[in-house]
Amino acid sequence: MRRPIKVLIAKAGLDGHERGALVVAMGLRDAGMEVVYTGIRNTPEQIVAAAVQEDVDVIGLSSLSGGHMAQFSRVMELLKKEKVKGVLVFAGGIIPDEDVKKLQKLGIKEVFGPGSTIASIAEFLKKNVRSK
Amino acid sequence: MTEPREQPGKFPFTRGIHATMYRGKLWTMRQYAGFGTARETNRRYKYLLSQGQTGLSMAFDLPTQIGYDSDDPMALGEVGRVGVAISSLADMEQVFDGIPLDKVSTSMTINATAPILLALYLAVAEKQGVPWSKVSGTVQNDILKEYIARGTYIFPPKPSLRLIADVVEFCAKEVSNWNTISVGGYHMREAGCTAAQEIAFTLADGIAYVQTCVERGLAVDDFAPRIAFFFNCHSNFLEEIAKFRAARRLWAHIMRDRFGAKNERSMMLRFHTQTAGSTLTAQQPDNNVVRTTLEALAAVLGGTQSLHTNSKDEAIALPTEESALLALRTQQIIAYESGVTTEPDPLGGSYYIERLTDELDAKAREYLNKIDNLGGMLKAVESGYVYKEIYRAAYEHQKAVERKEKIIVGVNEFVSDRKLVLKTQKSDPKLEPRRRRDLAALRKKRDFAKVEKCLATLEKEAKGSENLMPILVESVRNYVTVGEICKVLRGTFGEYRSTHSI
Amino acid sequence: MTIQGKQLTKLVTRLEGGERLPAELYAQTGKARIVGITGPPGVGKSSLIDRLIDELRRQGKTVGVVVIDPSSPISGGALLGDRLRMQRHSEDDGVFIRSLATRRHRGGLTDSTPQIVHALDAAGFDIVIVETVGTGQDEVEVAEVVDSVVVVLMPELGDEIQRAKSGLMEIADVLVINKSDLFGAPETLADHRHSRTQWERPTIHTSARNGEGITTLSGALDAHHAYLVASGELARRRDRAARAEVIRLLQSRLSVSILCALEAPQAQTILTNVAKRKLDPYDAVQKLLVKILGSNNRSSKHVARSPR
Repeated sequence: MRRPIKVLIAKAGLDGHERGALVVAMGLRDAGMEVVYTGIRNTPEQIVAAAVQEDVDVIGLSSLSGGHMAQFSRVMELLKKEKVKGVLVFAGGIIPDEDVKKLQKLGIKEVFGPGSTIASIAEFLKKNVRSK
Repeated sequence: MTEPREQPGKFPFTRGIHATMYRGKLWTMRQYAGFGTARETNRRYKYLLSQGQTGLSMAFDLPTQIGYDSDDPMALGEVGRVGVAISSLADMEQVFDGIPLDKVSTSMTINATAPILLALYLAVAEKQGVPWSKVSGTVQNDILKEYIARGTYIFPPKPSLRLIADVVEFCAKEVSNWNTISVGGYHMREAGCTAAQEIAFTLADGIAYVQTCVERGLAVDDFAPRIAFFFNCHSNFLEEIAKFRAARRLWAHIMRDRFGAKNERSMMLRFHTQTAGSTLTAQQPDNNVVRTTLEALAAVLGGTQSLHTNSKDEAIALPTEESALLALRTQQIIAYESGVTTEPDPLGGSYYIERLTDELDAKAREYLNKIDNLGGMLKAVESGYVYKEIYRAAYEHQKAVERKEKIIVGVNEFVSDRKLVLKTQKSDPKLEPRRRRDLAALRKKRDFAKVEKCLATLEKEAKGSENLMPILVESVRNYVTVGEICKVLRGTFGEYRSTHSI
Repeated sequence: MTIQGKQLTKLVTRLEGGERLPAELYAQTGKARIVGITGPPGVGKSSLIDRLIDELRRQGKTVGVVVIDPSSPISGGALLGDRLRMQRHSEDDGVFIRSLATRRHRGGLTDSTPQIVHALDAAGFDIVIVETVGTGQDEVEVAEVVDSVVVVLMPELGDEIQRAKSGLMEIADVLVINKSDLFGAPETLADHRHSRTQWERPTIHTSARNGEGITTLSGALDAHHAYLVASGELARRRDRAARAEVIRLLQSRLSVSILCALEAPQAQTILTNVAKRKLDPYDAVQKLLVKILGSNNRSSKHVARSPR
């Protein structure tokens, strides 16, 4: 039997607003996934280290303060550097349309903006992720 | 027709803290603003003041709020994003260039680094030749909610409360027109708590701060009149009006009965309101103008002393000049055209509003009792009780929205296929490198011996029990930076480590 | 064969999924000290471990940590929120932290905890910490896997006395009262001598928030380990642990066989007949046992006599 999809929900940078990340974490748990939440103020290095040790299938990055380009691209860079395979990365929070395309080019599979439902995130993950 | 049992301007102030309310003086129209550079902020302030805004409200970037200079590695990607980057007196002087500090009142949304930013403001006033007794404004200075709903904490609770009391004590003597704490429920509400919880958790924070100052030896009536509050105004129109009334009544009783205040001004809950950011949608953004209008109206009918109205594009990014102006006009139309200002608490006496007020009063009391049983708000926060309450409420709300038990127009009902692309205010990518250069130049230019001396004194006094405000003012005068000050304080006080989870 | 870094994490995933630990690795186990930390939710176990890691690293020891949280019986998912409190150690090469969900296992651990502990042991960590939620009678499995059990409580938990009678107190080698700074003078639970042994269980007051009591805790763990070695109790505990592990594996394998066998159409018919009252449960079991034991070649040598 396949293990449940394992997700790391991470907040990078200095932003301290947790509502979205926590609500998504609880929602994905109720959708049958195993969710590790990192809390706030993580560096990209800490996020990638956690993702590797936890051997997650998914990383969900949350940002509301606008620092997403620098922080998320550093995460993607580190994942490549550490040769981490088989991890789908998605993002959520306040991310302007123009940046969405840039993030997708970096390898972030989907960006869930304000008003996104847990149901849509869960569905997206179930469709696109095969757990390890 | 029977006379209502409560009167505006009379204890317990349910119906308003002044007898005539807006008939005598309108609420302060105070729009939160600030982004990128000090120069841009200065320009935006001058613009808003010229358009009729009556008070300034300062937003700082996260590094400033969390005690990092713009060139600190921890600041990467965050400089100038959610507010203005202030690392030294040079930046602060630029923000208020041409803005006389005896003619405006400035509210600063700053918490962990409140004493430092206040010191900077006072140093600017000094340079302008404005005596501190003529300076007026507010620092938010409310650390408890940071630990659970906003995240810009630095130090652990005990030293943080010491710093808060330092500000209160110092201003009581030297800066008498300054509001030293703005106890906030806005953020906890944004994080997901209910209206009753917003009242209870906010007042509980207030109780903790008053208690701290009383324990320091300050007389309640000497500082309590300068404690202000900051509430959310959410979408349930009638409930929000009742919420403000219940909060006023509760606080009056708390101050008189629990703390023995004698001065009526200690018992008056004065508050600033911001319309709820979390009710704004990215979908069909024009709808947000309507939402903000209703929320602003509720705050006015609820008797707020000061109001910020959100701009319609705030679900996406910091507001453009056009949408910021419209937000201000919203308040002006309510103030000058709607007629609701002619009578204080115009909905008082309405069967439903009085009932809602009593209900919220009772529910909030239950929470306050629970918090007392836990040993006070500090313990309630540290134990994770408040955190769990807030985020579980947030999750319930999300589930209700996804089940369509709660409708959000344009989001889960009445959606449109057309996707609107908004013109959003972009952040300058050259900002960070520029800041690094400016700070490097500043550090070279100043008198480093004086800087070192100030930092040494700061460390010594931080380890002791002196009021730190004087050394902070002296430090910023000599262009010691925010980050340098916080490095010393972090070393002395330690850093708070958040351990909360659901 | 040595395992480190990403290899280790992949191995843990495979073990989590039910794969077997390579025999060569098992041969390398037995060097690490295994410490269990259990207690009711909210007492601060993870924060305590975070501080303990600091202290152990200061002593130059490497630490592997397994944090176990319950899976939701309804959704099958889990919120693994303990790592949050240790996250600052993520980049330290001398520390490995892994969150596990209990999945359908009851008793406080996961099916694969013993094997994962072995993997960390074989990987060379000096100390392996297993954190579990323990509230009473059911969650005492951790004692079967570790050398030393730390039970963490908090003052002002109304049922302090209840706990004293519960299974949790019986397995405690070290008792920690955490959050002493928050809740004032804690109730003292009398130091209690284990009935069968000479170890006098210490009660340590800690504040994970302030770091108070952590060096005392580390000292107590050292003392307990020394006691275990000197008294021969360590060998006895590890003996019991090995036996328990084999039995658990057997039970797990067998129940997998059972579930597989039950999928067969003939088995389904039998089950339907019980539901329809055409067959009683005991006779159904007779019939099914014949099928299961008959089809499972590995167990056929150990066919138990048919129950009467």
